[in-house]
Amino acid sequence: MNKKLLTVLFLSLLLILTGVTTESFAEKLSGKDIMEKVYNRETGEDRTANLKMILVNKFGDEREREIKQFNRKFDEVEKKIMFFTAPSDIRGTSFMNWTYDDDNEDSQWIYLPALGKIKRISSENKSDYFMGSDFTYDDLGERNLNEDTHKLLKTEEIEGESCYVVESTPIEEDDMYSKIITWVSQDKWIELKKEFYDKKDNHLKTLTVIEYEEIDGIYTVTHSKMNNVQKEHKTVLKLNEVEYDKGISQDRFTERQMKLGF
Amino acid sequence: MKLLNKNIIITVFVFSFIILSTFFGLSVKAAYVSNSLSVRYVHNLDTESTYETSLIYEVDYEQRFSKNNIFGKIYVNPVFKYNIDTENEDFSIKEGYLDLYLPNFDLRIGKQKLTWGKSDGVVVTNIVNPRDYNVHPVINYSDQFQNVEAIKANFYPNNNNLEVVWIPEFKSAEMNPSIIKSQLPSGFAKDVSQKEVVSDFENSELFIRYSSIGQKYDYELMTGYSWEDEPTIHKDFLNKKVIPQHHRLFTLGGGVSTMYGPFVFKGEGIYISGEHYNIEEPLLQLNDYTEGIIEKKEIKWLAGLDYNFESYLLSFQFLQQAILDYTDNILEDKYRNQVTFLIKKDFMRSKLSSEVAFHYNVNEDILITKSTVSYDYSDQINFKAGANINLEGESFKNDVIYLQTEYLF
Repeated sequence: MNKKLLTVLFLSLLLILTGVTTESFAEKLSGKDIMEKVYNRETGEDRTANLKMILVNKFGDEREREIKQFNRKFDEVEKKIMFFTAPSDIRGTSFMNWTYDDDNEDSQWIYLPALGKIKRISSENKSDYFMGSDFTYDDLGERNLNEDTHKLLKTEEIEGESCYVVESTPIEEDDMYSKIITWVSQDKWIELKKEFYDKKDNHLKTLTVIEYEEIDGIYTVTHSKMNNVQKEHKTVLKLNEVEYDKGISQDRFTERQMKLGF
Repeated sequence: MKLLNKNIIITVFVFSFIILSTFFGLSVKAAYVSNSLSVRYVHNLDTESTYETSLIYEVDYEQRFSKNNIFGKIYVNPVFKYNIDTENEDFSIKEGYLDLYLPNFDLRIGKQKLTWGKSDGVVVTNIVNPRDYNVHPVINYSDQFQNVEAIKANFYPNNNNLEVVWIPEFKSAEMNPSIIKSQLPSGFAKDVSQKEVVSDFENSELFIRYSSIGQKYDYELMTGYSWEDEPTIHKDFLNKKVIPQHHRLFTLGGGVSTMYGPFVFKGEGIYISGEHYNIEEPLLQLNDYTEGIIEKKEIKWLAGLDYNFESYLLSFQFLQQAILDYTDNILEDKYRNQVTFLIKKDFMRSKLSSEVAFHYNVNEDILITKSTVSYDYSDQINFKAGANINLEGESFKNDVIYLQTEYLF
């Protein structure tokens, strides 16, 4: 009887301590730990998706861009290829980007059907806006963890979801942003909101996730909006026909594919 | 008439394919059709008169299909142009071809455009399609080439690209009659009574290119067995006639591009064997009759740099042509140099884009500038304005300003 009582007491104590430890661990996550979890969360080996970008200016005029996108992580390089399918004046254009694990600069190429040739372009244009949208090339890529220092500011709820709020400050002084504040879902490790501040530390734009889905076991943002508060311009980004781990081969990321389309 | 026949053949071919595909069970995917209607006004600054007011209707038609793991595409790009001033109509098929895609091999048969090389706006290794000097000064550089009827095969060893192009019938560059007239020696008449290159297998052209893109650099190598696109002017001094003649060329070349920070470096070069040049008028001795020409080899090379700076693109190129084993009686200079410079910038989220291009012929001291501003009012409507001005030196005068509105549907 005493033994049973002692066992129950021991197990209860163990459970309490485990809970305390977990709670303490949660509280002790640093900004970098949180962003590391975002960076390292499961995103599949490869992904195929259709993107629709709706560009809205301050008068409410809309322009649409439609893109078919393939990306895959190979050993030490992540390859991405985009085919522009609409509107008709940019149809047939393709863009390819290779990002390397080491410090090497990205390699980028563009194929313009009117010129009929593939051109290597500089990847230093990361602060340029992509196809007239409110997303820069940098926003659309995966920002390397070590490019910023990360500080946990607070926890806060967005649409009923508990989030960590992390402030990331670029290490390089000439970065286009002075800081980025990110709301990270505490259990799914996806970014639900991001605020970007310009070099003068003024609020520049806000990315808001409107909808996300679990596709093939991977949380995927399928509907988001980037609102540039300074220019009163916004871009709505919608993803559909998203597929993961279909075994996209190296052949997809070649000169041949850039010219032929998907 | 000949052109019209070819266009009819391509049109009939496309419709036959659509009908036959229904019977042979090809899986025909949805067709893609895009239409463009443009109104263009061009004003000639030299004559201070209207150069052209025209209406241009262009269609892009694409039909994809598949059967037993073989995929393919039919593409046709007909253009109808109506000159409002002269009431002339012109119909042409810009491109029209059949594509077949196999696992590691592609085939394209039909009228097509091929662009080779790393340079922009000047020709080094981009010699497959002949030039069209008759075309309108407004249109883009890439349109200043004639599309050719050819068979193109692509192989992909290690994801690189081996391209073989066979052009069964040689097509000469379209020369501008005004320029030719201005180049004729005084007292000479042009004789075109003989067809220079007869259409047969022996006179066909062959081009091969191997290209690769990679992390550090891209490169391409090419070779060609072709004809001079622009004829050499042979002179019959006795009968005071000039006879344009094309000569066989053997070419070997290549190009490379690489990136460092905001810079993209470009290099391209070609060795040409069989080029002919006009020489000073020889003494009329029948045993030393040269027709006023001499055969030499030539090297052409280009170095260029693209620089991205705060959303500006600055592009600089230097091109040199050098005649090997040069003799003093050749009318052309031993070295001919050209410099190009381009500034490009987009505004208003790429709704407004502008570019200014300079082309300087160093030997003849001719500076030409081309400026363009285009504004996308919507995804369907686009406005374009520009000016092509000869700023320095004397060349064939063709200074124009133009306005264009395009509607896409």
